[in-house]
Amino acid sequence: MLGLFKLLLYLSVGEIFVRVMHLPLPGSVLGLLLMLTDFRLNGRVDREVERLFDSVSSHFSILFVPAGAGIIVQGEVLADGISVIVISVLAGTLATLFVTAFSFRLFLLRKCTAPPEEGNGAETNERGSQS
Amino acid sequence: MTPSPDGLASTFQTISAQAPFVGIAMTFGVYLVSTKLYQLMGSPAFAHPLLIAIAAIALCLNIFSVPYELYFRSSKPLHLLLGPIVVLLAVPLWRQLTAIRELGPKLLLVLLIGALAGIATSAGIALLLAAPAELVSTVAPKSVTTAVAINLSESLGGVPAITAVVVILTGLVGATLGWPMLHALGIRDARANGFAIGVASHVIGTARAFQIDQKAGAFSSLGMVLNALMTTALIGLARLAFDCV
Repeated sequence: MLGLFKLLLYLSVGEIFVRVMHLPLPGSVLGLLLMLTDFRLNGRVDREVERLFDSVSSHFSILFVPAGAGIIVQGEVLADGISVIVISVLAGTLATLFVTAFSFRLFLLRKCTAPPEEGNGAETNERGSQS
Repeated sequence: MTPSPDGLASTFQTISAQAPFVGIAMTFGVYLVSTKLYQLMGSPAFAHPLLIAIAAIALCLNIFSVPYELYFRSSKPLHLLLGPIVVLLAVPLWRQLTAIRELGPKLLLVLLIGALAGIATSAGIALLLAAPAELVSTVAPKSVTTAVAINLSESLGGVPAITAVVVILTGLVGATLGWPMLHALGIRDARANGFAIGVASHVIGTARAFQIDQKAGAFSSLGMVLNALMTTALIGLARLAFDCV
């Protein structure tokens, strides 16, 4: 129960904060940061929140259907913006991929190219992501 | 056997007012069928269950001339769950903290560059082509994971429905073309490519990265969660600084 309460509490605090401060941001992202701060202060992840995430994470997609179906009433915006949408989805995504991978290699891989180092780093990371 | 479309619309209206679970049940049903169909077809990218589900709902509403607003009102509880889902993303971020600490501040630099590239190639292109403010806000969060992107589009004054579809298409482009393109360009490190796929094409790209390589998948989910935060922060800062739109 406490985990669920925290979830709703942080979300509410986030939403109230962005409205009071007139921030053009989703309150839910602030809620995410509050939850992360909670984990850090406690030194560990909240088990209930973790269980909740693991049980719903593979079914997130269904929640996007109600908003996505709204495309049928947006014909006008869609028609006006189709060139912008196609360019940014196709060229934009590929450009973003290249720029990100290139700068990752430039800044993070050049200095530690010794193969044993890489192996260690990856193992530690995998352990970290499973715990 | 079938009543007239007008009759159906008003029937749906009455039913959904009195039995508010109808829209939710309909969404679940359509989504389940889409997922099955996707698996039966051998999971091709163009038949992503989300795309099929959205198309199927749109088709149903069209055939039975049920106004979208009516369906949305009836399925709103599902939409509202996007908020708590975003907060739950703290869990994968927490799991990646070790990796973030190991890579250090340079990771933030790479993230910043990636997030800027994502915004420049969406909102930037829209601004260059003199698109209306609404459209700029709609495409700006294209590389951000859907739950955050929809929330972001809503709070920026964009059109969340188009954002949702743009985000899904972006994910599909990154998932299908990302890995082969980066390889062709000579970037063959699983960590660099995984991170880039996560930053550019969020959870859909991440799912694909996990199929290719576990390490790439881990770095992809790292890129995805971090970019959701970075893009939100950058767009927020830009809005506060220029007070545009």
